[in-house]
Amino acid sequence: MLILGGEMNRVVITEYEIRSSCGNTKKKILSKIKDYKTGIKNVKELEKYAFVSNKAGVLEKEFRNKIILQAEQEKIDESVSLAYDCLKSLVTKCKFTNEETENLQILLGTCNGNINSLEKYIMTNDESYLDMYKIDNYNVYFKEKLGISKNVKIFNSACSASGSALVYGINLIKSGTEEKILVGGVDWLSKYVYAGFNSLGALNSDYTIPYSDSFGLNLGEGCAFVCIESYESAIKRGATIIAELCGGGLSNDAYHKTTPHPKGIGVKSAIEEALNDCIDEINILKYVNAHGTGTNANDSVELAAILDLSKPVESISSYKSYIGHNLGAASIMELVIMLMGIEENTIIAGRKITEYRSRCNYQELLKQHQILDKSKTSYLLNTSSAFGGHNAAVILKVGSNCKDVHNFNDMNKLDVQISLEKECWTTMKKSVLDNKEEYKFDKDIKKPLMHYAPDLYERRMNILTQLSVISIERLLKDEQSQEEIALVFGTDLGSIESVQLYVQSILKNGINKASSLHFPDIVLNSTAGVVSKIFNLNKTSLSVSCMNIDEVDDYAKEIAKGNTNKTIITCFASEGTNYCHGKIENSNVKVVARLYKVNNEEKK
Amino acid sequence: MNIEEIKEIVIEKIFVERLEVEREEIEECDSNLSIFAPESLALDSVEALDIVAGLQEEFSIEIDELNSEQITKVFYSIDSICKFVQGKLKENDA
Repeated sequence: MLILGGEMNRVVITEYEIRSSCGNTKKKILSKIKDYKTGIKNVKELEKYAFVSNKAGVLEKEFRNKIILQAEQEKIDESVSLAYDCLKSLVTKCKFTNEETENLQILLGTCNGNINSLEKYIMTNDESYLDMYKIDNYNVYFKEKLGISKNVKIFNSACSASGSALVYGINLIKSGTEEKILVGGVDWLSKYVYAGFNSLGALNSDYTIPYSDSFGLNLGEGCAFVCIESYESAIKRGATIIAELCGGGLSNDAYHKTTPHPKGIGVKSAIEEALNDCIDEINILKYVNAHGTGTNANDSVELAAILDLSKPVESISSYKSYIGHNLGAASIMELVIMLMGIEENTIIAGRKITEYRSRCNYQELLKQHQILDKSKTSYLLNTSSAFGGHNAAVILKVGSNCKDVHNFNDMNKLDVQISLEKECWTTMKKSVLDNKEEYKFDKDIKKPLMHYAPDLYERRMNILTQLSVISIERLLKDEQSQEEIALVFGTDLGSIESVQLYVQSILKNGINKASSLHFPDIVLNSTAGVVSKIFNLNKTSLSVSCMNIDEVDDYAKEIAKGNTNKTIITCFASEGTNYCHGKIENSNVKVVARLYKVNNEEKK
Repeated sequence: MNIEEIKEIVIEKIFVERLEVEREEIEECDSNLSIFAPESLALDSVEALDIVAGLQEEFSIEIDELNSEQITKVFYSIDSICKFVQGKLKENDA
């Protein structure tokens, strides 16, 4: 994302911390990876569920038990407990002063969030687990334990969540809004999520090796955080710079809930946006850490898109054969493994492939670890894609001690402001655009969108999505072009209606027969994905967990500095409920959407 | 169970109730046409997986694991689904 608005800070990575199935230290992880060994194993606990696979990349037993114990004692979800353990170590490593710690901004990507607590609630009916399910628990706990003052920002775009957090973090530092940020991702292995991937036929009963003739993924669990800061901040406090972050891009496929666009348009768009930040400096991308899940749907499409970029690519691999697919934490965990390699002058290959899959047999796929010559400047890419169509990409610059400043100065010095053009809020009773009530729904209507705009209704669309579509349609009705529209979507708990349907399928038919239809709708970015598809919003796209529309607008203000989109839509959608066994009270569902215009005026 | 009875269960229980396809939409389509074609019911691979789950549940038949590519071939149309179910039921009776 190009930052519009004057002088831009350079963004560097100075420290990292990770918790993975390959271990929690660089020494342990690299000792496995060096010999192409995996951290994935058969998980005894999964055997009883009769899934297609029992394999997963789970944390080491002793450490895992420590996290579970800490969660029980502190009455927090295991995911919060794991993220805190990782964060605490990182803060210690960074040797921040108390003042620096207090001013830290934390950005967190998670797909499953606290779903483990929801599972426990369903099994026990103990309502204290519902409190632990709330996404705000990360914020409350980190503030209390770490002494930070700023609210934790949560990104929920499924498997690209931590990648999205990182792109947003790059923006915050480049624009000067923040000086130091800890960006991370966390996901704890959830049997409900495992069941969903099982029903979709996406699991591999064998050890996953992306691009090989063995199809499917192994899920994982883990957490990682990186410290990113302005170059000046790093120099001032004498921190070691591991790499510079010189580009970031976001997009949405606007295509399908689970399947990537067949031409890889979304992933390519996010990468090109990232490349655009430093397009004049880059001749070749030395290495791409691809999303590479091992599934038939992802790998060949993603590879074709990467090999069709505006810049040539020298080498590609994915690390999911070592640590599994860590969902919301995947991008940042693989980035940390990239950083470990960079420190050891190495580009890390995936596990060895005996037979390549058709349409995945490219010479650019790394066959073995390679030496990274840091006497030269190299550009490396990390990319991730997700259910809901979200994509995120970041570009790292390494070598030459990161002394070469990339040139943003050719750009006009621009002021960036966003101005509210229209607002629409929609409930089950009425839809109000700019204080003018124009549409009322019948009291007992079950599918309001079918009445409002039947052409936009899609089968099994949940109520949260229907009202979101109505709000956004009303905003966009008179817009001439939709090509340059960015979407920032926020929700508190997503569609509990869909979660309930998914859970009911498990309770009725057994966990190994979970509904493949409702599983894609339990991810919190699902509504944003459907909205993107319906209105073809395939440019910059962000989905976040928050409590109101003003919080969503805060994200939009930063996004405005970081892209060329002329229009930004913000939307906050909430069912206004906690999880309950009964029916969702549709009358509580509320969606607020706003349309902003981005004003880039040249400074005088 | 004859083919017409099977067809009614497939349409009502699987297409209408599970997938929420409108009955009129089904009636307007030729039951020999691909259910995945955009001009027909435009089902996707995830919905195809649910058809398999639905058939197993409604007819108490076992269906071997199929990948989504195989599913779209075996379950090409409503008619081919019904023939497949009829074959499975005969296997069970034998």
